[in-house]
Amino acid sequence: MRGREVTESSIMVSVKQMTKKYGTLIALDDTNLEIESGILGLIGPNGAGKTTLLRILLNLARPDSGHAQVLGLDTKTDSFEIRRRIGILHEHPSFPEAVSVRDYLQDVCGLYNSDRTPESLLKLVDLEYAADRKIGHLSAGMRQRVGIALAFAGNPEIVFLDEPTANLDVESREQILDLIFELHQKSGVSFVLISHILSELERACTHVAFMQSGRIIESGQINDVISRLTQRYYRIKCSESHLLIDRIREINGTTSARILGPASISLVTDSDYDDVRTRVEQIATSLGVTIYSLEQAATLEDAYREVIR
Amino acid sequence: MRTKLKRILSLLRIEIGVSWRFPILEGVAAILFFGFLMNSLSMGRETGFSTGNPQPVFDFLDGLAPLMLHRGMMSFNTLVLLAPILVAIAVARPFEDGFYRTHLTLPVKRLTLLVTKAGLVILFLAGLLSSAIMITIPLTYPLLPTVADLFLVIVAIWLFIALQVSISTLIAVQTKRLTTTVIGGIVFWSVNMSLLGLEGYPSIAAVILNPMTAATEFITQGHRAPVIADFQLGMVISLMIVVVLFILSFMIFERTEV
Repeated sequence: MRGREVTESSIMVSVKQMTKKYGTLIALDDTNLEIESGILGLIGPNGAGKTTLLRILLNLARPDSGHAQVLGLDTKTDSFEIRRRIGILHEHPSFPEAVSVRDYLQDVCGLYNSDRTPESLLKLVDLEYAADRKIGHLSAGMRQRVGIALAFAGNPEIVFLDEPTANLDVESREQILDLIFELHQKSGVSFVLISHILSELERACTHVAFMQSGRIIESGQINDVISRLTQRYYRIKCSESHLLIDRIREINGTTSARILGPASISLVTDSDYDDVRTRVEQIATSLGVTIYSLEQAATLEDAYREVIR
Repeated sequence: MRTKLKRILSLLRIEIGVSWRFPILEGVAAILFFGFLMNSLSMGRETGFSTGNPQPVFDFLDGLAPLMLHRGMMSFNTLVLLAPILVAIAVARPFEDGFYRTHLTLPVKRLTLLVTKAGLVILFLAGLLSSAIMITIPLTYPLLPTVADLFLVIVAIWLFIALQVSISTLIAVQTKRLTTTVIGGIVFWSVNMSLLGLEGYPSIAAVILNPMTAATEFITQGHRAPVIADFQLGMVISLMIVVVLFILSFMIFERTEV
């Protein structure tokens, strides 16, 4: 990611000093980002500029200044060639409602001049049974699968997925995440995922980039980022978290302690590991609570909270 | 070449699936049906078919041919009102429903997409009007029209439709709104029709703004028949306006954010 030594060929997307304003609103503020081959999660609060950045990369919007490359091609001048080699799922895709899923995918494959067939795409997203249904008659989840199938119609080298698991049930979400991982592993397809479901991104991504107020404020390999940002984070597994929480908050240097579940507590403190362990064990013993584990561990969500704090 | 053709065919099929589907085509058919029905009823009421007196009917039949042509032209001019509606559906609505956002990230050039959309509207409307006029003129024209006359009318029809579509397309890509496209197109059409009704309205202006009516009146020797030189000049100017409007539309569309 930005600032790291990477070979030229492994950089799939490069954004340099990109600025975009809508009136007085600054959507992108001197944004710089380099996306390596892999699965990147682009994370940020609503209005952070993620979708604007995506739209500029796809040449749907024009930056006020700066420039970007996708697959080594300029987004302004080589847009057609870029679009031939990438796949996209938009947050709210629009499809021809009166056309069957099969016919539509057939036409989209025709636009790509791809060797893909509608059947292979539908199999990819487990939607073969709805091939002859009109798109207008599909449920929100099924439309989402059509959108994902569409993204793979041209055998893309990089796929941009904006909220890929929206409207999907738990099983389907798992399936899509598995598909993303499998395509990356087997075919080397890179992905840029935009999502607010951080647990999914943590599972799927190799890299993350945090955006806030139009800037990339942190980026890198996912585990590096989490450990770098959450060195003060501890997770306590115990028998009864609600008995422990008030006393845990009294530990010196604690900035936050919250119950994650009936037997789990997240603690953020400036104290070092040995001090924390000693204090927690003392408190637990005094309250008759059993401590099963205490580890310096954090999630992508913790890292996110830390970075936007 | 084959790849390009395959792409264009795929794009055409997608466009037909998006813009030329139920209930749009059914709506157009309903407008055509009721338009002609109202026109027929209007002709019948004027001649007193319901009074039981046969004389007005005989008088009416004597004057039927010119009346049919006149009424026919009114109907045809009214049909041109479909142009802004269809352009609004094909070109403006995709800004609102996200079609452009989804499909301009596929390997489709913006120019190709806009040409496909505007071209299909021109093809549909001009084809429809050409067929209708080809039937009406031989029925109403006192002498059998020459091939050259019919060719002139057909060219004028295509030009008039292209003019109306180019103006509506420009409004659509500039405003990105369905309603403004329809309203703007109707305003242009209304001004056009009002100007045609003015006494002393220069014939060349009539050809530029409404070549269809001018051509029909020209070959049937109507009261506003311009001289042929004016007519040709008017057609060329009209064509130039169409080209300029389409170029402007393409330039705006190329830079438009979706």
